[in-house]
Amino acid sequence: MKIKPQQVHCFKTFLPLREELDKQKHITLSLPASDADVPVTMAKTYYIQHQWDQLPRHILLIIFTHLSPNDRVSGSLTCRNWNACFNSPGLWRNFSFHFEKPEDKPKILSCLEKYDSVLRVVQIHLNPRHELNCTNASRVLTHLARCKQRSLETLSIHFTKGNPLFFKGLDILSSLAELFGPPNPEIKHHSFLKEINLSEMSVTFDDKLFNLISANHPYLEVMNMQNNSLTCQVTPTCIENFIRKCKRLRKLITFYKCISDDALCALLERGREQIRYLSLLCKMEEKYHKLISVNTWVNLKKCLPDLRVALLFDHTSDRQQIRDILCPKIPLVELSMRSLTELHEEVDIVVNYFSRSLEIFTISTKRTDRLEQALINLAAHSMNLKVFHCYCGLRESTIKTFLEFQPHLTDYTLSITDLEDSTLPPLFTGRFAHVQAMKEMGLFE
Amino acid sequence: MPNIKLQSSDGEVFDVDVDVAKQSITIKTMLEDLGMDEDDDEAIPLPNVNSAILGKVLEWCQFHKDDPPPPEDEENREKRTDDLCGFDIDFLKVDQGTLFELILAANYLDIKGLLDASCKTVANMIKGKTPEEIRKTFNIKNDFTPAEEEQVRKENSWCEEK
Repeated sequence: MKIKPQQVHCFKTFLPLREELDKQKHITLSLPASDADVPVTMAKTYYIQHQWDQLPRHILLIIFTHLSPNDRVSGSLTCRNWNACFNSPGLWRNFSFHFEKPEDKPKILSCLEKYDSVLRVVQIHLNPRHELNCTNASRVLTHLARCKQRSLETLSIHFTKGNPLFFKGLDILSSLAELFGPPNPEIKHHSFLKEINLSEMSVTFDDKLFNLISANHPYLEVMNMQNNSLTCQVTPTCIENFIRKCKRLRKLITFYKCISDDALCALLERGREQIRYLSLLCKMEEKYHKLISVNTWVNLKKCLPDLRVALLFDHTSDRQQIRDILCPKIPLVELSMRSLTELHEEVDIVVNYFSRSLEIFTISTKRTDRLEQALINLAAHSMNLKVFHCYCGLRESTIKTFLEFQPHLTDYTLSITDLEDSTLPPLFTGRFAHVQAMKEMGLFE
Repeated sequence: MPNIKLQSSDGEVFDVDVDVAKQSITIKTMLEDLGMDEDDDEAIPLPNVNSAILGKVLEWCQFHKDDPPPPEDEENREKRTDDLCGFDIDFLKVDQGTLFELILAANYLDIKGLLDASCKTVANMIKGKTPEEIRKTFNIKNDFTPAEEEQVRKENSWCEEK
């Protein structure tokens, strides 16, 4: 750190003063009468003694919010004051429900009985392979849908072990539909959701769920529906309607096939919050989907100068499709390309189009000499690159040159050996993983 | 950058860059609302903070003066304690007495970043400990009767995970 010269002498005086202060513990300081113009709040008495059990409640609350449920219990058992903090409703605004093992019994559901009216941020983690976990997760959602007073603003659902092929998740989907649906007339206070994250919920979505959200939660700010299910049946018309109704949408994380020129134009309507982030995952099925026109991108870029776009191509998308979708007018900040075949020409295109805007780039492909050249070219021309991940092994000299051009990366993956791309769902890491996943499900000997 | 003077409870005067000091909302408000002039020669009295702690607080503010403002929807974010930066981790490696005073100072001076970082440090000190170990670490007197303690244990067990 930088300290100005005149401050240094102050720091030097630390030690003697500390010692002196330690000698005079228990002193109470109050303001001399001459300082009458000092605000009243400053005239509190101040104890130098360190009474952790007497910490003001709001500070204790900050400490407790950073503790896991188990540590909160341990803290509550130390003294009465800390136990009172454990029992203040404010501590339980954010809660993560975990249903990962069948024995994760619904004891935790009593959180709902106690704090359903204060719960603002709810995460549900579940392993959907056990039916009981799904039932418990559904119970949480149904309870939240029906509780008399609701404060829920943020909801996210995470499947800890996915079964993207066959799991339908019907009971969870129907509980979600109830929660997203119109409020029960008995509900005294109905909250509107601001943030919904279903990206780690591996089920096939369709229009029904999203029509319910847009009809009943007009203040939604963040919607993440980009999951790793094989298909998504949500139509561009549904998303267009969604965008028109949710006028405060700041972040939309979805699929390329779910948007259209009309949907993107809806983002330009008057009287709505400017969208800041749009992430689109492109899969093979997008091949049969109409491309977003250059004109639409030009308009978006012109009217929404703060918009940051992310494009993700998964292993199922092919090279021609990548070339078709990449358009130089996209305000592209984040790009991820994964392919089992070569991608060097596509990297060249990226350099050509996006060297000014691109900040985050992930690539997983086959190593070739041409790829290494293309990546060095990328490093030499990218002006704003901050994060770079490459999951195929590169020559040591390439890595060195890359980092010479990009010495300020905040995060990067560069290796001389091929790396496992852990961000991918098991289904997409190739045939071997696919067989492995099926074996785990007992479908394959 | 203009400087202002801050006076600690024990009378020491610190000459500080205004932008560094304004990370304290308390000081910022005083400067703005109470019309304290930046080139005023009079020191702002901070009767709740001694010079040792004020020095530490200003050291923290100096390091963090160019930090971007925290995200607006922070309250709804997941709470993490493993995201302290290297400077904060080293800065908060202090005895629990100093940590306690830093928390009170950050609270009084209304410096959210420092309050959060020091509370996270306390949380990290609590993690994985038994109630008895926590009492020992923070010198907390057990004011429960054994029966009460048992009752609390039972009542609070609903959120325990195995």
